[in-house]
Amino acid sequence: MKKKFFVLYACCIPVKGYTRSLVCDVQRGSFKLIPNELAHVLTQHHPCDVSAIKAQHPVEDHETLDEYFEFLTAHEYGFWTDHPERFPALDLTYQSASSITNAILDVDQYSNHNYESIFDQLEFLGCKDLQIRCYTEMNPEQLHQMLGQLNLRRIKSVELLLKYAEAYVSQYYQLPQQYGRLVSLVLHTSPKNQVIQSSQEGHCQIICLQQAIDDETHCGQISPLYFSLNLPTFSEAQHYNSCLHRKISVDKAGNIKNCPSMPKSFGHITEQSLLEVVQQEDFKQPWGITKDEVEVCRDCEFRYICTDCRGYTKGERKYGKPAKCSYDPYTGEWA
Amino acid sequence: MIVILTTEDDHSTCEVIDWLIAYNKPYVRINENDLVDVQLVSGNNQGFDFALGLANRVIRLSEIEGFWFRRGWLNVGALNLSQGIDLNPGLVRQINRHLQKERVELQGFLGHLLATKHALGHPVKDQINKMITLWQAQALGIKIPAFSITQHSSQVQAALQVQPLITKGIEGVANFEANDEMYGNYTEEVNQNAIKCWGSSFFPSLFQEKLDKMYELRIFYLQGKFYPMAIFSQNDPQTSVDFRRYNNERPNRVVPYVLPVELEHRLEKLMQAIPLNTGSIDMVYTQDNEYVFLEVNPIGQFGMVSHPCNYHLEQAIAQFLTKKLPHNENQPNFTTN
Ligand code: SF4
Ligand code: SF4
Repeated sequence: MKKKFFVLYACCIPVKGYTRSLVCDVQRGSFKLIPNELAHVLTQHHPCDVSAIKAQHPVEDHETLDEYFEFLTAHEYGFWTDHPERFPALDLTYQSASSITNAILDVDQYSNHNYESIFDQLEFLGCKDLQIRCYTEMNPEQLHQMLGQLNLRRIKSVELLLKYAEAYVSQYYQLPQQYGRLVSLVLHTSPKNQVIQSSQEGHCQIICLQQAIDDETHCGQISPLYFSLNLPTFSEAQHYNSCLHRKISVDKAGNIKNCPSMPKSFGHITEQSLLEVVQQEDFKQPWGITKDEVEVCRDCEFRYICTDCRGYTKGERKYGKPAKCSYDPYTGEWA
Repeated sequence: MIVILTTEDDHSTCEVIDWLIAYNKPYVRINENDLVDVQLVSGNNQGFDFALGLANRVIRLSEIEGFWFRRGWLNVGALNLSQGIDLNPGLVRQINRHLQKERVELQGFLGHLLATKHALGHPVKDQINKMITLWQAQALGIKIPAFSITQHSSQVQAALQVQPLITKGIEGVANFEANDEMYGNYTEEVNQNAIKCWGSSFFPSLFQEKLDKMYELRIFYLQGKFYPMAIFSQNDPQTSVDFRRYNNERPNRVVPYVLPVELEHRLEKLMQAIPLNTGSIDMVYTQDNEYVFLEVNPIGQFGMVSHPCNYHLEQAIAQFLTKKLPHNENQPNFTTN
């Protein structure tokens, strides 16, 4: 006998947009676009008593409704049950033991960072993910000095951006073997675009990019390629800013900032500790800007999986849409 | 100070420690391969005490406020009779066997002393007898699967006439390693061909009614509170007999779950009867709408429940150890919002 209720798996979460909607699968890391009428049914009438829903719709819509539920069942987005009360929604609260979870460190030829001290401080704050972006050529010795400081720390993943250098490139490729914390190595200003090692092939991806990434202004691109679909980021996006929450940055000149692209400095790394900065209310202010508050994005179906950017916004407004996003949720099209 | 006994590679331990750090709580992590130096264990009419050396620090029983037995054992007395000694090899073996018994007895005693503190898990009770647990569950009115243990194929044949069967270890999971290959015992369905291969008698083995699952339940238990997760293993033939055979492309759907209150009460009694203040309970919800109990694992992989259900179990464990209130009511004093 057919069960009465259709229930979405708790990890498949509908998000309504202006013209269309998504079901975000935070377990398997994918999403499906669905029409707004279906999202309406799935949010307003969940758990879905399909015969009751049909009773509220004209007969000619019933076939469409049946197709919707078949589609969702076939893609394992939901299932049928007589006991919907046993299947609660996911709790989307966000908790982290770290006061800082992620950090950016920028480096150019004039930088004079004390890596050991910076890493010590990040470690103390509980930082897990670190991005090091080198805009100019680094010789292997400099890199070993920097990366050698990272072993045996709580920082668990490091993404490294380097400038391609013909003389050193083979040594660069060896870095992931020497430093287990490296999860991504990108060489900019390369002769050609090339994937040297994908993240499936090893613990660290190695990618060559033709583009010259010679300063922080290259950051802040919004693209489906960067969408992040997992439960921690999805729940974080409900309450906090997807890019800046619990982030701290040290720019190439040593200024402590939310992000290297933002003008406001909270002091120089040689004069202020990262902890002192993290304790300032001012510093944490952008952490709480959610996509639900940002112009345009608040109507976008991608708002909880999109990476956001507060460094470059439309009209440089605090709540402006990310300037480097070409998506228009009112038409449903990428420009 | 909180003492954690665990293994080097256990990631869940690191996540709990992150919370202890956030709560500003001193801790010592003892991995099972860390050599523990027995400086002094003493007892008299005033009480018991110990001082154990670990790398370059000393852990005194009196300084320990909380203890978490995650897994492993205390690596004490890691000495055997010297190789070079001129004794009959058979005698050396016997003496080493005796030393091993001495070691286990001492480990058990130290484990007991640790567990007298505010403790989660118990190093001596971590080996529970699965068949006895089944007996306890049945006595408490919790449904169990029908089973038989036999060494005769004729008995298996007879049982197979009644219902489909699976076979699995009486004790549990085994992992073997040879020539760099890993071998393990999985839960297997029993069929006529298999019975023929076994001959008429074999090592006493467990045969259990094959349950017609709607979904499986993995329920983490932490001092009076249940954190249930449903696993939809039936959609995928690769995992429908044994959920441990993961399918990486399309992992089974796993979702938070609400247990019937009545069942929770019985499970609570079961945990008290064993007794365990933490563990992972495995159950099946059948096509006939029945909850069937399979086993309790004292050392549960709680991360696989915590993360997909967003239960924040790592935080809850740290709060238990530091005697804090349940989470959400008590923000860490170190984090900054
Ligand atoms: S706010 Fe924008 S520019 Fe700053 S780090 Fe985030 S994405 Fe990059
Ligand atoms: S409109 Fe906003 S939420 Fe949508 S993709 Fe662009 S930046 Fe992201």
